[in-house]
Amino acid sequence: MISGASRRVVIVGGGTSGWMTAAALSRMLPAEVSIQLIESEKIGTVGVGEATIPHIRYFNALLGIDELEFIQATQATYKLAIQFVGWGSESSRYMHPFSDFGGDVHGIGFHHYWLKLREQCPELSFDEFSLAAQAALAGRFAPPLIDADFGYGYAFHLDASRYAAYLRRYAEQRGVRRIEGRVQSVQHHPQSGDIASITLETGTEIAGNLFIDCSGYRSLLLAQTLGVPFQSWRHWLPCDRAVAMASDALAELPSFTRATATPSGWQWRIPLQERTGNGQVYCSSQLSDDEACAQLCTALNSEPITEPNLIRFEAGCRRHSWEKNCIAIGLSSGFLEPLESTSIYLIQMAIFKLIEFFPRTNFLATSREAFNRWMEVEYHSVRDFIILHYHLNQRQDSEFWRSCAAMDIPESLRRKIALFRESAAVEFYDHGLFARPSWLAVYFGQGCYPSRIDARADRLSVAATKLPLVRLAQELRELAASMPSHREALSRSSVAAATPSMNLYGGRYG
Amino acid sequence: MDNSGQALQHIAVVGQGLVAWGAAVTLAELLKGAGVGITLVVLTDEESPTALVEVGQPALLDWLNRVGLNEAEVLARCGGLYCLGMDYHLAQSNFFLPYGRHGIRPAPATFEHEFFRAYSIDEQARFNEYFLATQMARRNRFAFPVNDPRSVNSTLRYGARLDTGALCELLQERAQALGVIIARSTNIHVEVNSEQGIAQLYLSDERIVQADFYIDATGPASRLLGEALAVRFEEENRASLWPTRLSARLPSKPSWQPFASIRREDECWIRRSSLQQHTVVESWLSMQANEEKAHSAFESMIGASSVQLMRERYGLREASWQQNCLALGKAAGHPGELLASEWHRAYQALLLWLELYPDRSSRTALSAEFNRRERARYIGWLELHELHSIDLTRGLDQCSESLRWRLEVFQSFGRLWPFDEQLINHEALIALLLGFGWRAAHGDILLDAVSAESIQKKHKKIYMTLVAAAERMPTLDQVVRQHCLMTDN
Repeated sequence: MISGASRRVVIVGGGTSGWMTAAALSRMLPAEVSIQLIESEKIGTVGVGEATIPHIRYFNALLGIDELEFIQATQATYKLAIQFVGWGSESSRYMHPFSDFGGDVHGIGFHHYWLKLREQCPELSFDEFSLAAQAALAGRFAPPLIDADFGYGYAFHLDASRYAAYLRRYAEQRGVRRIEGRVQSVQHHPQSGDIASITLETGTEIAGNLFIDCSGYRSLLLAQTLGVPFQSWRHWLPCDRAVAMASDALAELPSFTRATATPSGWQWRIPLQERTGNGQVYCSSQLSDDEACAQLCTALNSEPITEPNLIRFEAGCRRHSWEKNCIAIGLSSGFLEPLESTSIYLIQMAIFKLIEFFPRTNFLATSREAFNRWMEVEYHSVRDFIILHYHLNQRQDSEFWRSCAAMDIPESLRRKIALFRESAAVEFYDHGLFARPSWLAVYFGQGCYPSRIDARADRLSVAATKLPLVRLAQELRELAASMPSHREALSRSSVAAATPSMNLYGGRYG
Repeated sequence: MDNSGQALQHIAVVGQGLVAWGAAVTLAELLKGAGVGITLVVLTDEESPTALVEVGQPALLDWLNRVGLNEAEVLARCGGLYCLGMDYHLAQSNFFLPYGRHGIRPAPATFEHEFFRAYSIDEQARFNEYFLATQMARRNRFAFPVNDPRSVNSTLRYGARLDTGALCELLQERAQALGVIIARSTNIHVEVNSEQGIAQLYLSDERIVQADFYIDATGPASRLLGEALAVRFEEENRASLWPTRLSARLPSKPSWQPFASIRREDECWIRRSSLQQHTVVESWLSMQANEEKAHSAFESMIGASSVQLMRERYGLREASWQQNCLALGKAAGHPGELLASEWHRAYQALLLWLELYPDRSSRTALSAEFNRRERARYIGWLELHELHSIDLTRGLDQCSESLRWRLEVFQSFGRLWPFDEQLINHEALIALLLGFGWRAAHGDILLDAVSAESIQKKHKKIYMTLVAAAERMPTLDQVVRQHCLMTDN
């Protein structure tokens, strides 16, 4: 039973976060809760999250969305990994796949054995030991089999606007009322300071009990109305602009996102069925907007089909995401650049936590505290992982990268890197998105190697170590080669038989 | 990269009792292929009484398997009995805390939420009856789990109760078979080197033991880490813990039950752990208890005069691993033993150390990671023991801040706020909270639209299935007689 204190939910803002929230709440909250969403066609959306991580499959499954219908509606392609180009040295290239690498041997991490061989067998890259990486490099895709020896996860590249539109239809069919209009003012309860209602430019007043701020960077309710301050992480993540542009679809569809480092930032390439999403993220003190557009145009792999869209941002998050009776979800809560495709994941986690801790009769304070604690952990763990990419770069081609390598980093990250450099160990944490395979991918991919490995792996001869690793790499290559091409998989409508889970690596972790 | 010259070649374990023997055997077995020699220095004159019975969770049997000890043989030698969980007796209610899982899939919310949705606050503890282990325990039944997820028996996990002295004897044989060098010494002198930590040990017969790494299993005295390396003990002064522990053997032949039972009295917890030939009774006295009075009450309750008294000192060393020394069990810290034995925690710590595994070089970041995780585990265990001591009627004000938060979230939403390190499984923790009388005001919102009647109907079916499955099983007596009966029984 929902008390009157939470029965009327008002979502301010549409876009990906607004409609994901509306769709999920309409599915999961009892019918007695009314949901209204205010958005204006005059206000554009950023369209975050064209590249996703496997958790989106869990979100869709919870909503009962058919995966094939979703792929068709959003023109999605499959995604097995992110390829990072030029993030270590300028010529470096590595995969961050949705799978583990190798597998522990006698309780010792696989990577220790690989490190043992690294100098003698440079042809055996770390990517060779991830099935998802191998399949992605071969331009292939097949849904993972249940109980296969080598598990992996998969996600999608999607058209975020189409996804929002799809979810809008979904939500409206389930009773969400969309109200067209722009917010003019916000009224408070005189005693509590809670938001009581919102008045639109048309004069319409919309009252509610819970207000969800999906207004994007403006953070209309949480920041502008309730004054929750922004914690800037610019000193760790200096990029503050992006320019986005669509181009024609690629002839060969990669099953991975590409993130290519440039002298003052990086470029993304996201292959959809009908177009390619491209963007340049950069630091405005290093590169002008015109230069960024020119760089992006030069790098396109296909003919542009839209004009450049300039986005300004600052990395960071609000001190907390839930204040009084207002919950910020998406960009109104914080911004982390889409380097690891975490935007939709962070929206999704906020929605799940809102539902888990949805305020009943007298628990608003506990709901708020639980939500804020949880989201802080999520934001901080993603933040550290993204900073890692910048900090570990070895590029010498610009002051931007040299200063990123030399900058002070959060203590939580400094500790992790020190542990790895000393002992090849990856710090364990139970809560937070990225586990050992992800950290290893970036450490090795960007040329960060430890001074020592596990002594038990170290004492083995190179010959004894090499043979099983060569065989494993061969087996994974063959498995990848046996998959259909990505385009063929799309036409075959391939989906996994197993129920999706909140797991990045397809069951091996988490 | 070749630092193989730095590999550990010799590890010395120092101490007495199960933690020392267990550590020596574990290291000898798990480092068999790594060319590491193990020496165990048994301190023969240390006055540190140890537990009479090992009430082992399922991890105990995993350990036996990993160190190459046959489970049935160990149970036969140690007069052991299989154990499906703990039977709690409180003033107002009883409940069973199973080791296994209920194994019922979320539909759409996790199973416990169905209880919060379908039953009144007073009836939520029904949840604990939906574990197969609970139904088996009620009927003195026992069966081994199967590895087929379609079978309800796959939800079972079991531990065992073993006579500690007999287990140590058995471990001694195993240690010898594994080539562990065993040295006995009435005392040791520890020589410290500021750079590496422990330099060498002088035994009472003037022998010298020099190793690359040292394991301190000397109990609360912490002769290596605490005394020699001066790592400070951070004493836990929570009034809620139990500073005195009394224990005794009841010689009479007990009835065999597949659980240990634990009873809360006014000023103590009393645990009865039956073995094949005797029962061990232990009492943890609260700070408020009159020790003399409690001692004589304990004696008259068990009808035995040979009562062992142990002073419990709760807390944690600032670091459990410093330089070339790792402390295990009470040498590292003590958060209470009602839920997890000293060896259970020591073994988990040893596994973590083996996962990280150093060499002879200084590994400050590696030891810091170990200490960070061990501290998180200690805090978790401490909180779970605090849960055993709080008085529900006095509300949350009496709790530590972290436990208060956890209980507040549970009471509000029926959800568990996660520990940094998982200590017991989610389902067992729910069973523990409900058993102690903590209740959730609401269940998962996903179930709001589901009628209580339909849930109750579904539960009735599940319950009947569990009861029928339990009744088909053999008794513990039958299983023990078939698998692991002590030879003179």
